[in-house]
Amino acid sequence: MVNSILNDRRLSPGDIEHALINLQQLVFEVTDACNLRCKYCAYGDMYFGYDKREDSFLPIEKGKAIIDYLADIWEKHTTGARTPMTYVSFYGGEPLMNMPFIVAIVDYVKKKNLRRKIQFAMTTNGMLLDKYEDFLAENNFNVLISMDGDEYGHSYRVTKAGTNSHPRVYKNVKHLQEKYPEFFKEHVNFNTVLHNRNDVESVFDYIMKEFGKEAQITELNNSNIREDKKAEFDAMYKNKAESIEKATDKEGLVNRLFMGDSNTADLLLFLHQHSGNFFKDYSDLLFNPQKNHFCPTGTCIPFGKKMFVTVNGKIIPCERISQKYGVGQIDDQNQVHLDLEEIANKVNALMDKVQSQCSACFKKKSCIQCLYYIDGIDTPKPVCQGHMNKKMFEDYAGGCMAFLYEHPDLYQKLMNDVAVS
Amino acid sequence: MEQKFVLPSDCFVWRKGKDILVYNARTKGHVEAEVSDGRIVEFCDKVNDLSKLNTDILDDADQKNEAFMAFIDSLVAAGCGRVCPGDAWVFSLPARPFVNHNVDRMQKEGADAAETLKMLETVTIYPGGKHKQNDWYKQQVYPFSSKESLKAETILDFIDRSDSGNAMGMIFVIAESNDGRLPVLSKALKGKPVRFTFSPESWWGNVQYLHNLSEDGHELAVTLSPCDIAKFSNGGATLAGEVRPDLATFMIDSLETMESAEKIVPAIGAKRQDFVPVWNDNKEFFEEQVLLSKEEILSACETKRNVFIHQTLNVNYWGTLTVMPDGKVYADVNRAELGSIHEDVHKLIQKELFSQNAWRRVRDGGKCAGCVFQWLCPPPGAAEALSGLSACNGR
Repeated sequence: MVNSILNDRRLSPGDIEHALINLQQLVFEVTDACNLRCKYCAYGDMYFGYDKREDSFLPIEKGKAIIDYLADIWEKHTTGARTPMTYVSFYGGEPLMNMPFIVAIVDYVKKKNLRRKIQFAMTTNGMLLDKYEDFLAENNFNVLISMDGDEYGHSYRVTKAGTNSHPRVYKNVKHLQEKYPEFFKEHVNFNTVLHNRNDVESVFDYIMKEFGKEAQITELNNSNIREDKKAEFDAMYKNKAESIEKATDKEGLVNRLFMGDSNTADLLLFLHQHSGNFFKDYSDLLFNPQKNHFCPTGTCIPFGKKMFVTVNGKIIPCERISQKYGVGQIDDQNQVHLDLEEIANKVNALMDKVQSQCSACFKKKSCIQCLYYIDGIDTPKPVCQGHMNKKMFEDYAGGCMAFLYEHPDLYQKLMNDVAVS
Repeated sequence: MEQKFVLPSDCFVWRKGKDILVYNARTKGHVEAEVSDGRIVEFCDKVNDLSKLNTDILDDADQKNEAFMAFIDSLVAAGCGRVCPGDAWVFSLPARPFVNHNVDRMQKEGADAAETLKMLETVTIYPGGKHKQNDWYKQQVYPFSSKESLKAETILDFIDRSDSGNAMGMIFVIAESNDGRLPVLSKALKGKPVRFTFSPESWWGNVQYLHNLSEDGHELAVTLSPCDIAKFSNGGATLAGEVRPDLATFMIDSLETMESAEKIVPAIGAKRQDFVPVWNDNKEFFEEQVLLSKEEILSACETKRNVFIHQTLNVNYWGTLTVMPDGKVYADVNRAELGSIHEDVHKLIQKELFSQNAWRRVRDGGKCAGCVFQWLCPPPGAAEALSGLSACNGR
């Protein structure tokens, strides 16, 4: 099986243009300033690989420049039928600390014909929600609130003075829920970072009990950890699967989490790629996929999911990767510089480095390894930590099948009900 | 002691009333049975239950049920399953096709125009003109006489709007070889995958046009009706010698026509030949030569994927649209039109997709709906629709 799948495909500028035409999310880092000092912050002293935090604010004109750039592409490549949708998201730092930018961009986007449905979105720590909740509700923002559970679970999220932010955030969120119950029901969600002061079960139950919502639970970002902070990170880090395993009602929790459970997510990927019964669309059913040519690794095509504009005007394919992998820039004259050929060449050069490992990998068909997270990707000989030899793949497949054996109802649910893009 | 039966992941279990067919698409092993034992019926339903993951428990009572165990033994002997201890950690993934971005989802979430257009693989266009009158176009690409005709620019506009950049194939069915639209279409579509199809009647004419089409890189094809075949066979005629067709399609309605067609192959001089049975009120010929026997259906070597395709869409029609001289657009010329050449092409395609008119017309109606072999048979086509005969006609 391993040799029947070709991973010799490389990106072309056309692939990247196609991604821009179909851009799903434009994310602005509206400021790198924050009113909290979370102990595990990816822009804090535990990590490296991000631009220096200088309490900067993204200029409004730079935001308008990238919208104009995309509007021009969308104008030239409009397709007609279904109205495409793009999320315009505001991220920080704490985005509510740069409200003038958000207000101006929302107004600019609304007045401009972008030939698509726009949904505004924001990730916030909730500290300033009381001040801006009316604006968010009026503009139907999708609001993702960072909350790590009860007061103890939330205790890494501290103010500059070092006090737990939970009481204020809780009060603000409750106020929003009471003042705008319908908006809250439709548009507000919670993100929880898992660590050694909380666990999946308690957090899930807490957010459900307090706010009637299913929390998205994410692990601490384990890339770009500073060498001298590794011990501190290790003490703080908690694995999601292990946390679920230790739950008092494990089965109930797995059911409630559904795709939020990593075993279920792994099983979905495995079944979709390896069952022989799943087809993305009718062409996939008719066409023999063995002839397909794949790109090495499971890296998204740049802008295939989102575009991230940093507070300094740097353009990056995703906020989850190091800012040193910027692929474009909005300059001081508010000109957008994106050379699609150069972007393709840069990504292809990284793919070349892992081609041979990928060719020999048994998991390549269902690979989700991001290039930018591969250890030593900047060195001449990076080592992919996602690589699987035959034995490792058999263990992985066995794990997926064992999970299915325990949850046979998932077969139909995963194959039928989950839409993939 | 409890035992567990496990069906392989390439195996299908089809039950229609008392008829059962268990078919292993990998090994071609199969068991066909007519059963009245309630436990066997229950067994079939259980292994078809997705949540059972192709397993069923055989308890003590089952193991004492001779008829049931004989059935289980026959499955094992045919490579359609195995029996293991009841607590064994064994199961398999049920063979059922799941198309994620399917019509239901498209209807619910909307379908993108560009994505829809990509499904269009071939457009067949009848520009129209004078020709001997006939109905062969209902089964094969073959010209007929029409009062209406399409302007070259109308055709090119439609093609332009149909093109998703996906190398869509085009077939022009030419009624008159002196058709002045030919040079215009040929030049405009130079370098694209285009086939110009003629009858012998329309082939004879302006040889220079044929030369030019060939020089522009287009494929030339000729289709011969049973009548054409008889004429060539009796009269010793040949097609114009200087330009050879790339493809000749012979419509066969009897063994005699087949013999004649084989004889005239050199006179036609095509680089490739295709022989296609056609319905011409020739039931006897169909029964003897065309309809499939059970053995032929079972030995057709259907893979799991092919069975999935049979269950989901119709390869005879999938991805094709036909434009008639009056500008009406069809997915199947034997059924109602989808709309007009002037309409949005993606909307025509969506209309077709959301119906089960042609592209998704599967073998689930009439006699076939009650037959356990329905998904092994080839998908229904034009001759079947015109004759009213099914692929096997109950054989």
